[in-house]
Amino acid sequence: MTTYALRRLLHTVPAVFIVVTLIFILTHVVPGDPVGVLLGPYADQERIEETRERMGLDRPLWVQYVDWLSHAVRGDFGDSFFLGRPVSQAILEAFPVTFSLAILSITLTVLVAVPLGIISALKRNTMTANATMAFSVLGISIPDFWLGFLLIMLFAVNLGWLPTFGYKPLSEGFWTWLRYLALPVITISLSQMALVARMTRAGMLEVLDKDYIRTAHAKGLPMSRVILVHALRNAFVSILTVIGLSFAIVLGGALIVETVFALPGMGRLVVAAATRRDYPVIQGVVVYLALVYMLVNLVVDIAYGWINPRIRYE
Amino acid sequence: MNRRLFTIFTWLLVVSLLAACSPIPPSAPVAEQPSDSASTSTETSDPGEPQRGGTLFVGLMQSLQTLDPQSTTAHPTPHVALTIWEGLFAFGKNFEPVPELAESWSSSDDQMTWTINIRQGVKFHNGKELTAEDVKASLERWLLVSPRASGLKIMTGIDVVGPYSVQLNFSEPIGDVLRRLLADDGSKAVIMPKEIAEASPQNNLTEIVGTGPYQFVEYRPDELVRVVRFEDYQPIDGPSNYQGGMKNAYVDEIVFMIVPESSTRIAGLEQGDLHIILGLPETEFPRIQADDQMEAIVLQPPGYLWMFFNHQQGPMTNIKLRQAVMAALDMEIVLRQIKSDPAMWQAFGGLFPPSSSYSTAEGSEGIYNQKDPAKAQQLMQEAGYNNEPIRILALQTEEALYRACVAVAEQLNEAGFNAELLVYDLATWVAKRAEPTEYEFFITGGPNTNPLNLATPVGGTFPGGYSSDRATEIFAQMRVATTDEELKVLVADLQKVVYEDVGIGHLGFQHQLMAIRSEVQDPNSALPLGVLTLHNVWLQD
Repeated sequence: MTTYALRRLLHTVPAVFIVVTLIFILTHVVPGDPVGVLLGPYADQERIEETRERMGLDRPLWVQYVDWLSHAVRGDFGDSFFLGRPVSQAILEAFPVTFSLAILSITLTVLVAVPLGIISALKRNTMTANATMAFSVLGISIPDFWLGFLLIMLFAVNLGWLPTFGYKPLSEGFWTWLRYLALPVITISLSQMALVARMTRAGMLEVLDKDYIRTAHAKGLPMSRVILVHALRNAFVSILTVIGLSFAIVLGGALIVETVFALPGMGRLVVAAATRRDYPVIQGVVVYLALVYMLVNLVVDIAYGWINPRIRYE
Repeated sequence: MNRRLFTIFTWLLVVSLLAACSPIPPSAPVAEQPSDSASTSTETSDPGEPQRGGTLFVGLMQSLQTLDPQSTTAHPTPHVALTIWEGLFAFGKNFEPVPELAESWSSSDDQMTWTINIRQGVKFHNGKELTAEDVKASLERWLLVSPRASGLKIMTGIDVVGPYSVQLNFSEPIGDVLRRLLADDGSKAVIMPKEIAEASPQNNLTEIVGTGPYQFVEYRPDELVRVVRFEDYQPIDGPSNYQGGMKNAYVDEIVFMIVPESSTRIAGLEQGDLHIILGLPETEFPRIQADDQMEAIVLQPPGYLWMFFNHQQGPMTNIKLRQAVMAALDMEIVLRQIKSDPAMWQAFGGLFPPSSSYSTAEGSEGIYNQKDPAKAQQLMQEAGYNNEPIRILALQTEEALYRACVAVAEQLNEAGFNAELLVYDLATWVAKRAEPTEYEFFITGGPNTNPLNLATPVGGTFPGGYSSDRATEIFAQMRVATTDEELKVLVADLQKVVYEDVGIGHLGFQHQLMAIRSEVQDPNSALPLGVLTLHNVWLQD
C-alpha cells in the first residue's frame, strides 16, 4: 500500500509541473498586469512603467518563470503583490476556512443524502422515493447565491438565530465556529446532496438485485444488516467517488458561497488573485489545488480497497 | 392515485415557493431635494451627550489593494487609512485644507520655498515623538510611490531646518494650493515614522504606524481590518472640521469588514451585524430611508464622469468626430441610466459640481448636452466618418462607469455611429487604455475637489494623451493662485480650453450612496462627505 501511495505521489509531479507551467504562460499572456490595479485607475503611465520595472515584471517571461520555479521547488512561492505576506502564509490562512466548509458540508451531505438514497432505493416507485428524488433535483437546480440570500433573510435577518456573514475560527469556540458556518454549509450541501443521493440510489438499486442479497435475506439476517453491511458496502465504491469529487471541489474554493457570506476562503483568494493578476498567489494556489486533487483521489483510491477487499493495489 | 397526488403536491410546492418570493418594490423616486449639505445631514434632532465605547462595524464593498495610503488612490484604502494616519493638512467640511499635523506655515516671497512647522508633542502609535525627520522621510516616500506625485514634480527637495520644521523647495512658484495637494485624501501624503518610510518598498509598509486617533491591530486580507483607539492621541484644540480639527475617537474599536455582496451588506445592516455600509445600491435607497432603524445617505461631492478620447490614434483624433459625439448625447438620459432618481445626479456642464466653490458652466454652453443627433450626423459627414468602429473601453467592476458606457454606446449608435462596447476587468482595462491601438475612448471618474488634480488627465501622460499648452499655462497660474475666486476664474478658462478642444467629454455628475444604522450618531455630519470619517462618530445605546 505504501509503495502504491508513493508511486502515485511521484506520478503527480510531472502533472503538477505541466499545469503550473501552462497557468504561468496563460496568466502572463492575458492582457493586464498587477501594476495598473495596484496604483489605481488614476495613475499615469510613467509611474506605471517605473513600478513595473521595480517589480521585475519587465523581464522576459522565461526569466520570470525560471526565477519562480527555482524558488518554488524549495517551497518558496514568493510574496503576494497585494497581501503584504508570503503566498504560503496567505494560503495557510485561507485554508482553514475552506477546509471547515468542505468537511462540514460533506459530513452534512453524507448524513442526509446517503440515507435518502437508500430509502428511495428501497421504496422505489413510491411517493417517498419520488419526493426524495424531487428534493434532490431541487437542491441541484437552486442557484447557490439565491439560496444563500434566502437563508440569510430567513435565519439571520428575520429570525435572528444566526449571523449574517463572516467567519470565526475554531479557536473562538466550537459553537461560534459552527454558527458562522451553518448557513454557508447548508447552501453548499444542498447541491452536493442531490448528486450523492442519486448515486446512492443508483448504486443501491444495482446491488439490491444481486444474488448475495437474496442469500443474506434467506439466511435470516436482519434487514438493517443486509442493507448497511451487505448492500451499501458493495454500492459504496461509486458513491465514494462522488463524495471525493465533491469534497475536492469545495476544497478548491466555493467562490459564490464565499462571496455571499464574506468568507475569506480559497475561492475568494484565487479569484481575487486572478482578477488583480497577483501572479505569485495564482501560481501558489495552482500548486495547492493540484496537490489537493491528487491527495483526495489517492485517499479515495485507498478507501476503495478498504471498503471492497476485491479491489487491491500492489 | 399516488401519481396524481404527487403531481398536485409538486405544483403546490412550486406555487408556494413563488408566493414566498416577496415582490421587489418599485423604486419610488425620492422627493426632489436640493443637493446641499442640509438635506444630506446625519444630525439627529437630539443626539444627547456623546457616549464613549463600543465597537463600530463597517461594511466595505471590496478588498483593499493595499493598506498603504501613499501608494494608491484605489478605494477603499482611504476609508481605513484616515483612522490610522494623518498628514500635514486635511480636508475641512468645505474641502478646504485645514491644519492636521502642521501648526503654521509660510512661503518665501517668490513662493519657491515653503516652511512648515509641525505640532510638538505628537506621538506615533509606537510611542515615538513626531519630528521633522519623520515628515521629510514620509514626504520623500510619497514622491516616490504616489500615483499623484506628478502634481508635485516641481518639488526639488525637502530639508529639515529644525526639530519640528521642514522646508520644501520647488523649481517653480507654488501658492496655497500646495496645502490642498497635501490634504487630498486620495493617495494622501500621510506621515509615518522615518524608519518605516525608508524601509518600506512600493505598495507595502513594513509596519502600520501613524499618529491618528486609532491604531492598527489586525489586517486579514479580503476579510477585515481592525483598529482600536489610540489612548495617547494628541488632538488639536478647537472644533472638529470633517477630516481635521478635534478628533474624539468615541468608539473603542472599529472593524472594517469586506463584504463584497451588496445584499449581504444590507442584510448585515438590517440585522445589526454592521453599523455602516458603503456601496448602497440605488434600488434599496427608498426602503432603507423608510425604515426607522436605518438611514440612507447621499454622498457629497458627486463624482464626475468623463469620456477620455484617444488623441493619439484612430478616428477620435479628428476634432469634428469628437464634436459629433458631444452633439449626439442627451446627458440626462445617460445619467438617468446610472441612477434613476434625479436627486442622485446632476447634468451640469462645469467640471466641478454646482455645490463646489469652483462651480461655473462657462465654456460648456452650447457644447454640453446638445441632444442633437442631426447635427452629429452632419459633423460625422464633415469628418468623413466611414462607419469605423468606435470602441468604448468599459470597466466591468465599477457599476456607474459601466452603465455610463452602455448608455453612451446606445445613444451613439442611434445617432449613426458604430459604437462597440469592450468590457474588461480592471487589470485588462488598465492595460488596454495604455495602448492607443485598442480603443477610441474610455470613461472614468470620481469625486474631485481640487482644480490642480485636473492636471493629471490633461497633462499629456494620461491615457488618451490629451494635452494642451494653454491648459498647462492655466495650471501654472493655478499653482500660484491665492483665493478661491481666482481659482474659479482659472477653472472657467480651463473649461473653455477643454470644451473647445473637446479634449475630454464631460458627462455630468452622480452621487454614491451609503447607509447607517440609527444608533450611529454623527453630530458633525461628516459621513455624507465622502471618505469615511469616523473619529467623531459614536454609538447610541
